[in-house]
Amino acid sequence: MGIMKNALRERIRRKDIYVVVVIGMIIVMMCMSGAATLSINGVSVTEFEMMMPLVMNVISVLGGGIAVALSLRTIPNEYERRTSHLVWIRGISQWKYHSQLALASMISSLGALFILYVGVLVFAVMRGEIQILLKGIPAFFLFSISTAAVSLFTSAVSLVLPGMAAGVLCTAFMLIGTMHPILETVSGIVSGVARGLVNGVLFAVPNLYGVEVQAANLLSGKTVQVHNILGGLLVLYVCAVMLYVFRRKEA
Amino acid sequence: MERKVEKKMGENKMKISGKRLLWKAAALVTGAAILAGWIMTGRAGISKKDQKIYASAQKLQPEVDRLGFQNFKMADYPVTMYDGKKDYVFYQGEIKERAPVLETFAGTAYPVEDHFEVIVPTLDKLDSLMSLTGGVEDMISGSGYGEKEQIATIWHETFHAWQMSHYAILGEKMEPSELTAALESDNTGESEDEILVKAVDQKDDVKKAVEQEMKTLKALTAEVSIDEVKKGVLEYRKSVGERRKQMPKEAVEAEERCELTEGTAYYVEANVLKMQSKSGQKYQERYLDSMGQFEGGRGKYYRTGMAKCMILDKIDPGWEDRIDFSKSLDTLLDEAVR
Repeated sequence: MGIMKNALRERIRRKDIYVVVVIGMIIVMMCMSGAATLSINGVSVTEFEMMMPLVMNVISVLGGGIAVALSLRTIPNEYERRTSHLVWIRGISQWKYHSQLALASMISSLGALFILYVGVLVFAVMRGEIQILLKGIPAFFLFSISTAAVSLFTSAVSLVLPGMAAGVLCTAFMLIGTMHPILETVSGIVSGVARGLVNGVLFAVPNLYGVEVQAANLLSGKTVQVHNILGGLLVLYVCAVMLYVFRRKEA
Repeated sequence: MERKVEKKMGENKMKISGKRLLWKAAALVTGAAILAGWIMTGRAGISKKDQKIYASAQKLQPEVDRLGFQNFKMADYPVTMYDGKKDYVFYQGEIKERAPVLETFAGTAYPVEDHFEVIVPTLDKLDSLMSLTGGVEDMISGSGYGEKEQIATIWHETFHAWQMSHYAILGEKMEPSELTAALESDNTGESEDEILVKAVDQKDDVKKAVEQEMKTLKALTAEVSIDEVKKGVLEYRKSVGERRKQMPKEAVEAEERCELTEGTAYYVEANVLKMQSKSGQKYQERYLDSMGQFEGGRGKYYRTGMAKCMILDKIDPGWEDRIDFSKSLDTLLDEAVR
């Protein structure tokens, strides 16, 4: 646990996380305050129930971006600074080392996500939607599954790919996963090679949106689909297995 | 002493490997449990919402019967809902799953083996599609598309299945196998839509004339006096005749065919939506308010065709009982005012 604690302390010392969170909060506040105009079919979306799933979507993309940014360099930096050698001489296994660093990245990503999420809850209370507070914590657990998966995936991929390639791959994983239902629809519109390509992408990247939307469902009193929650947990599990399987050669 | 230390180290190693094994087993069981749960909770088949939509559409049969089209029964045609992965075919009280016949999101009547089927996307897919495209030809966007509109669409497409199954439209009848062959052939000729765009939308004077005609038709649908309607129809027919002199024959045929097939189906669709709401507000907004609105390609003929059906309701009651699709709606109007 010492490795994880140190990594977390370093995260807190670094300023970049605060910058990203502040920018994210400004965007969320703008969406919720009405300063940003949102409309569907030309009809302004001002009702909290209509607005919340959309803002949750914005937060999930921001949270995913933060997760990629925070997790991408954590493990490679440790290797570059040769800190890893101090760990090996203590007989700590690669898996243990990687998993603690990945856990530190995941916790800081979820912390950033929580700050953004609290923004929504505060706004809900200001609008008199106090009942949402009770569901807020379980909803956050559901909401955080996809961000946790993105963070773990990024940590795992950063073990085997160079920085730039890993960054592009993880960002694509996060964006495609969040836009899964839109791409499913697109696959029904296009044909030929494009259709095969979209279907291939959909097959390779799991549906992260499916679990994210369950949090919004829970908050707005709609039916929560267990299948999608289990799907999210399965993705999280597979990402953890990837972290266990992938090893660094120089260790 | 050394032996004792070695023995202790050996015991520790065994303990560690035993603990590791236990962790691995626990992780494996957890993964297997999540996977099993995910598979078991996976939704099999079509959603309850879509099943309800089909059942509600069927329940409207007695009211649709009152429109008058002879032997127009939804139960005669399989209704297929496509969810992007599979087709769910509703027919004779059963729902059958199959590989998609038409791997695209379209509301259509389509030839399948020896019969015509209604194919529509599931409501969720249609919602998603419309959020991407902003609506289709401005007809199903605007005041929202929900279960009632989906039911109306199903009836629209069922009407096409009925038309194609029973009638030679303007003298042309295609069997399902012939239509399948035509759809599969690499026909590079101009589509009906392209013909109409060239002959109407891109010719300023023709376009202006059509816009004016659409306003006239809209006004006639609201006219109470039968004599005034008949007088208006005569003037309208004269104006159309003049306009069509400037158009190629194939464009005139395309116009008449589109009004006859789509206009009547749109008329049925609008009436089905009207049947489902007490206030009639949606019917007013979606169909009546937009009746005089010009639209590129075939879209405008849905509206002019529906307007003609409404005018026939006034000047030739019972036309629905007699229609056999051998004559254009204009010919029916001419006969009614003669």
